[in-house]
Order: sequence, then C-alpha cells, then structure tokens
Amino acid sequence: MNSKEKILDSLKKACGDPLPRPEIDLLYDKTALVEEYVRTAEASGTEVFLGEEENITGIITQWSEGQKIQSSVPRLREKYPLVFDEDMPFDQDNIPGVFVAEASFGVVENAALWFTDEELTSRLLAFIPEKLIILLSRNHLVATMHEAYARIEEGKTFGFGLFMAGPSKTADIEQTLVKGAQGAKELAVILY
Amino acid sequence: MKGTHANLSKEFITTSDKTDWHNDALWFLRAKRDKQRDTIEDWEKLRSTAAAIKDHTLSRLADYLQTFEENALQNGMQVHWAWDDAELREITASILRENNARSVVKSKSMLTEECGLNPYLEKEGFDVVDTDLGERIVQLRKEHPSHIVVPAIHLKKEEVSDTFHEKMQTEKGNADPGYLTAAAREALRKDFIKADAAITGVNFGVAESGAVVVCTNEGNADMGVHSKKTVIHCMGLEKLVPGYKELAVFTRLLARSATGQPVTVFTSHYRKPRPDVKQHIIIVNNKRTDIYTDPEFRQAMRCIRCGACMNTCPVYRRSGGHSYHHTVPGPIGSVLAPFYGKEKNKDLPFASTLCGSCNNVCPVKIDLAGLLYKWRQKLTDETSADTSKKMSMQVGSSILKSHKKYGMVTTAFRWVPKSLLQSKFNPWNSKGEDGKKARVFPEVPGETFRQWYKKRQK
Repeated sequence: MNSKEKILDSLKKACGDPLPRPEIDLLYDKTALVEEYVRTAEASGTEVFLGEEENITGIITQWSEGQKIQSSVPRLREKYPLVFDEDMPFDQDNIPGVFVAEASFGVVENAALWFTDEELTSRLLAFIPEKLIILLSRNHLVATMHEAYARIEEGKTFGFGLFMAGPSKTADIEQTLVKGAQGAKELAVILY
Repeated sequence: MKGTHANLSKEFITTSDKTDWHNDALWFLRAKRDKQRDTIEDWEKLRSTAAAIKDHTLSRLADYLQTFEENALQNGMQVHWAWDDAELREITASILRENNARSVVKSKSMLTEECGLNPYLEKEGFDVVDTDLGERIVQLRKEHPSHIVVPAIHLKKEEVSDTFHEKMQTEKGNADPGYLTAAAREALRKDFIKADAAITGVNFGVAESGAVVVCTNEGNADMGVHSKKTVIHCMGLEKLVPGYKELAVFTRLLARSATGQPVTVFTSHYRKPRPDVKQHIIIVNNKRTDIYTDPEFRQAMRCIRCGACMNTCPVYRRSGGHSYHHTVPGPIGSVLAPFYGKEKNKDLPFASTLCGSCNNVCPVKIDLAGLLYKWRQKLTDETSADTSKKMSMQVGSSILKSHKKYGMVTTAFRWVPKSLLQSKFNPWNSKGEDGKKARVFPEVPGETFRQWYKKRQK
C-alpha cells in the first residue's frame, strides 16, 4: 500500500457513521451599511474616500503624491497604463508606485475586499507595490463572510482569489502594530 | 526529569523578569478576542456550528480528502500524500531537486515545524528562509516558535534588536519596532528575489473547489507563491472543510479567536497555478490517523490552530511556550503531545490547572480540560511512574483517607519553623533573576480550621 492508500484505509476503518452536513443558520443583521463599512475599514488601517464616479481620478492623483500610477481597471488603463511584468517581478522600474484596482465586492463586518485574477491581472500586484488604491462600488457591499462566500460560489470560478483587509501589517515585535510588513504599506479605498 | 514542564518553566520564571510581562502580553490578545466576540450577535452558535462542521467533515474525512484531491488535480495542482514526517521531508526535498531549487522562502507552517523540515533541508544543502517576521526572528536566534500564532512572543524588543544587529547589522541599541520591521522587510525582500521556490503551510483546504487557503497579516506567503516557479503547500489532513459555505464560518472565527482581528489582512485562495508554474500540495498524516482512531480524542482534530487556548491559559501565560518541549504548546499542544511519545510527553497534561478557560474560548469547542484530565488517568497507568510523585501520592492518599492521621499531620505541620518552610531547602520557594524572592511559601496559620471552628462554636 502506498501512503495515500494507507491514510485513506486507516480513516475508513475508524470513521464510524457519517454525521449530517450541518445547516448554517445564524442570527445577524444582513443589511450592509456604508457607515459600518467605513468604520471597520478605518479600524483596519485603510484610508476611505467617499467619492463619485466623476472625481475618482482626482482622488487618485491627489493621494498618489506624484508617484508612478498603474492600474488594472479597464476604464483607467489608458490614463494609468499597466507596465508591470510578471516575469521580472522585483524589477524596480516595473513595480508601480501606486497600483489601482477595483474590488469585486467588500465585506462590511471585517472590511475585506475580494479580488480574483480578473481584477488583479497579476497576482503579485496585490502585494508588491507600496501603495494600493482600490475602487469599491457602494452597491457591491455585503454584510458578512456568509454572503461573501455565497457570492463567490455563484460567481465565475477563479485561479487565485484574495480577501484583503487593510495594509500589510505585523505585531510580531512586542505586540507593537507596524504597517507594511511585506506587502503594501498603505491602502486606500474609494467608495463610489 | 530535567526537561519536564515544571523544570523548564522554573527556568523561565526564575532566570528572567519576563513572567508578568509575558502574562500581560498574552492576556492583551485574549482581551482583544473578547471585544471581537462581543461584536458578533450569534457568537456561541457560530462556535457550535463550527464544531458541528468539523465533526461532520471528520466523519467523512476519507471521502472529502479524495474529493479534494480530484478537484485540486483538475485545477492543475500536483498532489502528494505523506504518511509521516520523514516522508514529508523527502517529498519536499525531491520536488526541490527536480526543479533545481537551492533556496526556499517559507511562510508560517507549524506542520513543517512539527516535521522538522527546516533542519532537514539545511542538512541536505538547501537555504531556507522563514519569511513571517516572528518566525524569522526565532530562526535567526536558532530557537523554536514559543507560540503557534505569535512565534516570538517570548522575546523583548531589545533582544530582537540585538539579534538583528548581530545578523543584519542594524543600529546597535535601536529597538524601535517600526525600525526593526523595516529592516527585516528590506532584508527579506532580497531573500524573496534570490529564492528559487516557495513553501507555505495551509489554514484550510476546500474539498469542493480544490483550493488551499492561507491566512497571513504580512502578505509574506503570497510574496513567495506569486513570484516563484516552484510552489509547495504543506497541509495537515485535518485542515479540510467541505465547501465555501463552511469556509465562511471559519474565516469569521479564526482571526477573531487568535489575535482579536475581525479577519486576517490576507486570506488567499490558491486554486490554479500561474502559467509555467509547478504548484504542489502535500497532504500530511504524521500520526493524525492515530488521533482519529481514538474515539475519546478525535475531537482534538477539530483544532484550527488559532492559539486562543494558549492566550487564555494561566499556566501557559506564566510559564512561556518553550516550557512545553513540544512543537505546539499550551492546552491543545498538551492534548496532542502524548500521541507523539507518551513517555517523553507524559508531564504535559499535568501542566494545567484544569480551570477550563481554554474550553470557553476554543472556537471549535474542544473539551480541552476534559481531554487533559483523561490523559492524566491514561498516562499514569500506561507510562513509567515518577517515584517521588508516586510516593507522595501514596502518602497523601493514606493521610487524606484517615480522619485521625489528617488531624495529626496538620497539627504536626504547625511545629515546622517558618524559617525552614521559607528557606531554600523548601523547593516551593524560588528567587528571581535579581536575587529577590519570587515565590515564598505562605505563612501557616496558628490553628487548624477545625480548631478555629470549634473555638468559634463556644
């Protein structure tokens, strides 16, 4: 017997009667409130701008403070062309100073933003730039992770999926919170 | 009995001034966890749902593992099965060799720690860099993590500063956490660039989608996974959940229970490799089937490794993680440890007050105190007895069984002079690093309770 057979065999011998798959039936408020999202996002260290479709680029320009901006958002790609090259991921000339992406949706209870390959275009772009600015439509908020995963299940399948809730951080040295451990040092969201 | 919890914790308590500080650091996490709990309306039901999901998954674990493998293969992942720690080490090394990878960046994985992967790979000539900041700190110091979520919780920032000064030439004496983190970021970025392969642990495997889910706050797992052509995910076989619906329950519980965050900063779902990338999943047993087969202890396999039981445990908080001499310390570690050697770990289930605080915070409702109590009975029967303990138990039992003997002994005890009871001859007393008394035998009242009670009756 190989290891796989040995493992499965040991489990099958001992498993006993199968237990039913439980219903997930929890009581909570299912409405997704913008004010609540802003609160959880700010608590996670995210800067939140309440914007409109018309002033998105204005906010991006101001927040970027003159750094090189690249974007994966189709309607912004002409203004902020994407030159990042996945095959040279650590090449400083390639890495955007600021990367702009659009989240598929956001979760109110924990400020997590959902992305897949489609929104990111390159997986590493969610991690390697020092500053990220994320567009999020007010109509794309869900209350909890339950609604979030229901949406993921209904949506297109993906190769890589990511929840991001705030800038990269660590508290590994004496519990002191430091932003910018390995990934982005700053994260801003434009809620429009 | 040199390496027992009692001896090792004595070292932690008496040779450093860390006990109170460590206690407070862990309690800080516990308090943050409570705040998060209070924001969730149906928290208790969330916990019991999580426990039921785990029990269901375990009852059909063989089926779910097969479903997981089929889906992962269909997604383009390569799947391997390791019976024990040695097989995990060999599979990993052979994948690295096949792909001409000499250096590896690794994100946090208690499983590979349990299987001794780093020392093995180093011996085989590979470079291994742990990229989680806490793990990097303990790796540079040639220590082991003292906690499964916050590996360097036993270290003061001055100690980290000294280590970084020595190994990374940071400014001597600069112990600012922001400065040290930035220095580590810069150094690790070079390691990410240099590495040929990335290894990660796994928080959850989703059977119905074949995805592996990794949770980090730093983003270090993703820095490796998305930049390397060879990627290996090491997963304990108990990490499975049936589908996304169930995953939702655990992503709500994990970080809240662990560090009091509503969710980890990054929750990454790896389903399909990037083009030209070889992505492997190693499913690891290493005695998990032994735990599974034991009906009393199977519930320990519900564990999602959040560390909440450590953060709340009064013994862990005061004795430090290294006192436990097992990869996973604290209450859950002491439940698992005897499966990895009854004789060598027989002291660990006794490193507990059985107060049950761990039961109250466990997100999957493992009866930790109950299981520790069960181990005590079993290990006393099944392992060699410690003579001094055996004798004192026999003496204690004979005194407590007899009213007369009890009265005699408690009266006689009062004649022992205080100077002797509080002297260095009594092992109860201990001194701190500064030479001051850290623990002193309490003063014995002049009369027994019965004498006091009788006097009061008059």
